[in-house]
Amino acid sequence: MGNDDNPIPRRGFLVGAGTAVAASLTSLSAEAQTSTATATPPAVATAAEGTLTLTSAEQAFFAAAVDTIIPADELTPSGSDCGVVVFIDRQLAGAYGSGAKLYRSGPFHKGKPEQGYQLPLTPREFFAAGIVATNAWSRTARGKDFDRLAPKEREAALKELESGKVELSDFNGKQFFEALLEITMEGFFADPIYGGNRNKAGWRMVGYPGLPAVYTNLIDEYRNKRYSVEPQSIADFS
Amino acid sequence: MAIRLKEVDAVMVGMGWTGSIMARELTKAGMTVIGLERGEDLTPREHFALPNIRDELKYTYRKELVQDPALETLTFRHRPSEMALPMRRMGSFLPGNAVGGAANHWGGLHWRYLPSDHLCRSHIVNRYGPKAIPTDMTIRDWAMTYEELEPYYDRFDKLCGVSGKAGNLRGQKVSGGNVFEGARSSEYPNPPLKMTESALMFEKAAKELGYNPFPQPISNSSRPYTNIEGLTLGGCQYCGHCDKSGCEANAKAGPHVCILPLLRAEPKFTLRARSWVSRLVYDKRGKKVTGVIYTDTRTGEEYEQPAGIVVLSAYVFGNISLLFHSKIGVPYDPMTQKGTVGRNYCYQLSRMGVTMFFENKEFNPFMGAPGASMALDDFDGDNFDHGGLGFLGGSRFACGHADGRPIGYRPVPPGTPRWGAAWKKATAKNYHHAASIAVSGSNYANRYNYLDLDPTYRDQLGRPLLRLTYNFVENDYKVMEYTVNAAAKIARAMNPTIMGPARIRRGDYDIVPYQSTHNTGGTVMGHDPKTSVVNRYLQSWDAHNLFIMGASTFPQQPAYNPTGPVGALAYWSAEAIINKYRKSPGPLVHA
Amino acid sequence: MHLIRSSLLFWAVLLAAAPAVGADADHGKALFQACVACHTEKPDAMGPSLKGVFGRKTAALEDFRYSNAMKRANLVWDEASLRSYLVDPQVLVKGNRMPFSGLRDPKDVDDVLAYLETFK
Repeated sequence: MGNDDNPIPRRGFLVGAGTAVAASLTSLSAEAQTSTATATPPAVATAAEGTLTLTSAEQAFFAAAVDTIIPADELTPSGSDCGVVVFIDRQLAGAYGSGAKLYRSGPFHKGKPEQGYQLPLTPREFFAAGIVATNAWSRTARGKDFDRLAPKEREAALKELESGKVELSDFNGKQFFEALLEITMEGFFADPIYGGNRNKAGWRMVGYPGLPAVYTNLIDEYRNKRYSVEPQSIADFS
Repeated sequence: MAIRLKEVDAVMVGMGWTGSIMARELTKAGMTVIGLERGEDLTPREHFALPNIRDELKYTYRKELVQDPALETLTFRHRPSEMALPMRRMGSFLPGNAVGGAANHWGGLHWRYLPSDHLCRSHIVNRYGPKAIPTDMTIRDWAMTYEELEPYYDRFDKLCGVSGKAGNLRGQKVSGGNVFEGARSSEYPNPPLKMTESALMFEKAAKELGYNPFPQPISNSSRPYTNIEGLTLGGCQYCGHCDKSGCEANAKAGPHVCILPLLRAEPKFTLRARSWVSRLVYDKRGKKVTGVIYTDTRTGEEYEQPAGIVVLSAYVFGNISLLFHSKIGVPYDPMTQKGTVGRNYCYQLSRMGVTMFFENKEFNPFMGAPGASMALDDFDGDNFDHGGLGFLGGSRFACGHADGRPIGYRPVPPGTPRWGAAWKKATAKNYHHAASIAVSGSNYANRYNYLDLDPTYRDQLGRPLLRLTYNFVENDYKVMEYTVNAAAKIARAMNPTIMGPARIRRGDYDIVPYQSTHNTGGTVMGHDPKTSVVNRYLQSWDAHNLFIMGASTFPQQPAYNPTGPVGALAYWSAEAIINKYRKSPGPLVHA
Repeated sequence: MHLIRSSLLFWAVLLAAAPAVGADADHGKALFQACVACHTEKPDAMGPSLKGVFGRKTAALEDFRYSNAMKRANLVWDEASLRSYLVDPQVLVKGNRMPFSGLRDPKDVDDVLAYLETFK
């Protein structure tokens, strides 16, 4: 498959149809490279990508959510095509997902928002519970799991969660939305070594050059002038 | 039963800035010193090198260099009537977790406090009368003046290779520097960093309004610099990662660059990483400490390290909690205002300012450093007349670009959605065109803001967690309102295409988002043992061979970041130990 | 005649390899301060030792863990390669890990090269 082929509609169709077998999508060609720094090449998966921890329902939820938060347009491919679901899967399967740098001793009380996170759940468990609660609410409100909703309905559902007006059963919908938004943005903009920001699509979108970031001369030479180069990641220096 | 080790002359509890300075000074004076550090040992070569040091996710979001709350955190509530709950994730402030301490990931802002900050209470009383100070505001003077501390400020400047421009050289005002600062005995070791375009725009607008902008003093070397210890710092690369990462160019000052290479080679010094001090051994009747108990975190084995002198050189919270765990001093009670340990906890007012959008400017926000900015002190401390304003203290302003890392830096104009197609469009459009004036305010002590031990929650060693009771008070809200509006006036003068709303904080203190690692107080200095924990040499009133370093000794917090005086005080105290205490061990001040 | 030609060739080679005439090694030493924070000659230095760097192969020292880019470079540090490296380290060995912005003034490069040549 060459660079002219656009994988986005196909993936959107498969995920929309509830098919969560990402591996079937990924026998695509090696990375797409363009010669100019400003163009946005289509992000293309470089290798088969199974999941480490996400179930198929969770994977479908995240794909639907990140594609709503980061829809495909002329700026970038969709969130999932930028690898954001892969990023989330790896984060939740690793130390962060297991509760690294989280104080987990009880007792557990609800507290005020300014006292911060007070749940006994690790991030992995938190997202699992949040997805179950969101899908249950989605079925009640709209008759289907979140990932099976049409794009407009997904957008409406996320807006309701964001507004804080939705009561999920035994779960704080606003808190869940904020965590979802945060990990999506991390996946879209973190160094591509983590599996997201594929082909540096997030960095290209804003014009962030990445590494090596040695600017002693350039800070003068590009004063009030756009510094635009092919972005480089940690992998390019490894 | 703890395994008893051989006695040494002095033991450091924590090996960040103050432990490193003190260990260096005491070993130079011939003493044997052990440096205990809870975290692991790091070296710039292994831990701060390209390419992995340029990892925003790892350092900013997964907090690689930050204390692990699973080992020890604190509980928090707004007022004494509430139940405190644990801070389960580090957020508002980020103490360090390794040899080098928070200096591994500090931004490098390097200030001296104003002469009037050293005389906080008496200065205000002299100028505005005693009634100007609200009843519950427990501000007070430092135990030494700016002039007394100046040689030590100067020494720390020259250890770090601070870059900046003097505004007051031996009493002569110097144009281009900070006209409000106290007299310096010498010019900054290095010239200011290069300024970003945004900094220059701010400078121009501020000058036109009659204010006095000056280059941000910064512990990033603007050029190669050999410090007073003979160690060489590299020149800053303006990488934009300073404030959460180590420095790959050895340009940002820190113990690893400025002192530790010499200590590591010093036969009288032993560094023990992964050594977590759980308490001091206190001889209450003898009014001294005999050593410390620590746990080797690799094996769980407990040791007793006897020492002639114990130096508490942990972060603010570590110093305070060790006094509680060792039953040294009387815990402070906000109802009676009796007791000393835990009182005068202060913080810093931050996350304030104004964001501006300039359609026709290109900022390349990823090129920069915290020092590549212009600062302004016209609304700081008592640099402006507070008559009739109804508050005390103020804020410092700064404008520049320091951290265009895209997970965290995504400025969009007001009204933009936070996700979706419109968000993408606005983010792509504005990333290169935004600039901010940041405002950081003073935080004056209040009787109800304090620290004690939590009755419920425990740390990994089974000790009670520290409990923080803290909220903003009326004075803080007024400082924020007045100074952010003043910053907004400068922002308007910069003539942006779009101006964001002035970010003035209202509502309760929130421990979740990062604000600043500038917690102060709890073991405050003073002249009276009834209201202070240490005397002017940072010597404990309750144990004459115990010296307590760092910002936990500050009675209140001006708008400035605390590292400058923290370093200066370490030198000041070291000199008192070497020249006074060693000759005649005992209280250096008689109350 | 033969002898003269050899000797001319010898000088020609030497000149090509040497920094420009008039290079100021003392000034190069001052500029080299920018390198000293990392190239300290100590075991835990952030950069490798530069003793005898002229004529050395890339990634040659056993006591320094070079980047893969440097290991793959397979160059000899001569005047031409060092010159390029000092002007912009990323041109000749793309992806190497030296965090240095580069020298913009050709005279400065000459002077640093002259100073580096004194490293034996």
